Amino acid sequence: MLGKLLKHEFRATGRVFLPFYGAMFIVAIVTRILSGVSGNGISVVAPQIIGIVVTALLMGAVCVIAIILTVQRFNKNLLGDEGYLMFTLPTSTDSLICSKLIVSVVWYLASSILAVVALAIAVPIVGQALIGEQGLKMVLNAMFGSGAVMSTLAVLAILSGLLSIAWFVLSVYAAGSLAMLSNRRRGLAAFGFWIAISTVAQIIGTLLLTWAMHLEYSVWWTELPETAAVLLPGFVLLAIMLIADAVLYIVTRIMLKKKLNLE
Amino acid sequence: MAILEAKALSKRFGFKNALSAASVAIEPGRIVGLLGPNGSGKSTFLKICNGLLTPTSGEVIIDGNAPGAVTKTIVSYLPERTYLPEYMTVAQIVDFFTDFYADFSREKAYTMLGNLNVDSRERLKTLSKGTKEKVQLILVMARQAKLYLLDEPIGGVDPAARDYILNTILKNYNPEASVIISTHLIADIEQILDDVIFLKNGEVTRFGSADDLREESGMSVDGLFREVFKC
Repeated sequence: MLGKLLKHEFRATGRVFLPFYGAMFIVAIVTRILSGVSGNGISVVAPQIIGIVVTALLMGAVCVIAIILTVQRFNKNLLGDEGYLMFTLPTSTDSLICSKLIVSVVWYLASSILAVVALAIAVPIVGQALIGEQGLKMVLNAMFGSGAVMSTLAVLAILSGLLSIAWFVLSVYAAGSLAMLSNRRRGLAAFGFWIAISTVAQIIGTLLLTWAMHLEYSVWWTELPETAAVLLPGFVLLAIMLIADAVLYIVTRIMLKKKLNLE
Repeated sequence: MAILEAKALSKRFGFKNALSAASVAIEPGRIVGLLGPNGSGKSTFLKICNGLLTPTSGEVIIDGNAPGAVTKTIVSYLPERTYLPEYMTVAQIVDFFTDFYADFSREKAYTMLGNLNVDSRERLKTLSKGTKEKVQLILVMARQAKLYLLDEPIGGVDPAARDYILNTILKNYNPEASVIISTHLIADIEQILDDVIFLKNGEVTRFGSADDLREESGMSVDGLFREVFKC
């Protein structure tokens, strides 16, 4: 059932994202072509600048759309009228949440990568920097070609990045689900819950950071082998992100499974 | 064994009791009218049976299970509102039902869509409210479910379409299945009902065979409804 839900979720969201990606690449390619025209006159430079600005605006728009769709798909497709369809499908609540979560994370990643690619196409200097010796190749070499410790750190960083995207998506889901406790003005209630979740997360994050900064003065920390001292913060961060994601997932799951209140 | 059993089912919204200790047991193969005026708790009852609302107290058992993924394979539900994604075409929503419901018949759905002259290439957002409701009913009745829960299936359509819809319900449901039809338009459906449930302010005031009710009261179900719910 999860596979079928993923298929339909990609279809529903792809019809919004794909035209935007298309527009972003068309503008980027046109800008690249215009940048090949030599000359210093305003008639040559102005279209190049406009092209870069439009590409940048479309890059920003794709990111904004990713955020809006995360909120809208959850509220409309699960908590709105379409919820009458989704919650009467013979599938589990976990499948419903996971399908939305996986598709959102995939679109965030795709949007980020494609936005950089579009910029590289539109602005030759960025493109050259990315594919040149000092660009992506060097970053990848530093991450995966400098020994096991660095590779492990790189993998931990990538996983933590993915979990932080998932955290944002799940914070929207948890806030939307908690808003079902309110019988009126659920949109406002959801926003209030999201602010509360973000504030609590920030307070906990600050406390953990303060604690981490004092670690170097701890005896047990100074006695750790060098490899462990390098890797431990990465593993701790990953564990914290996992716990934070799990808490939000469980809140969403309990609300949708035990407290569902479609009006 | 009852296909649906509600035991002392209650639901509160704030200070208002939408359902108060409602208890009924529906046997297989029955067409049941869930009758009551607006706000009597009909939709709330059906939503709880579908797991869309959590009861404040009491429980619902459908074919031996609480509402969940298992019961949803055997329950075909028509909500009282338009609930299908508007961006989809009729053909896409038929594909959606085919994907998720093993008991859904595409052939039956397309035959009924053809009978009602609904173009499957049309997007749902371009259809009139009445046509959308017909599409929804077709999708629900194209399943070979054990239990059909229909919330106001004839509320939003013109009287001419009502006969077609009632015929659609009668022709397409599995004779061993049960159908619960919630409505306040009793005269239109009285002839097809085996049993009736009267709901008043969230309480089940009468539940039994339609024939027994007519015999006891000496009037039609519609007449009795008007008597019981007189303003």
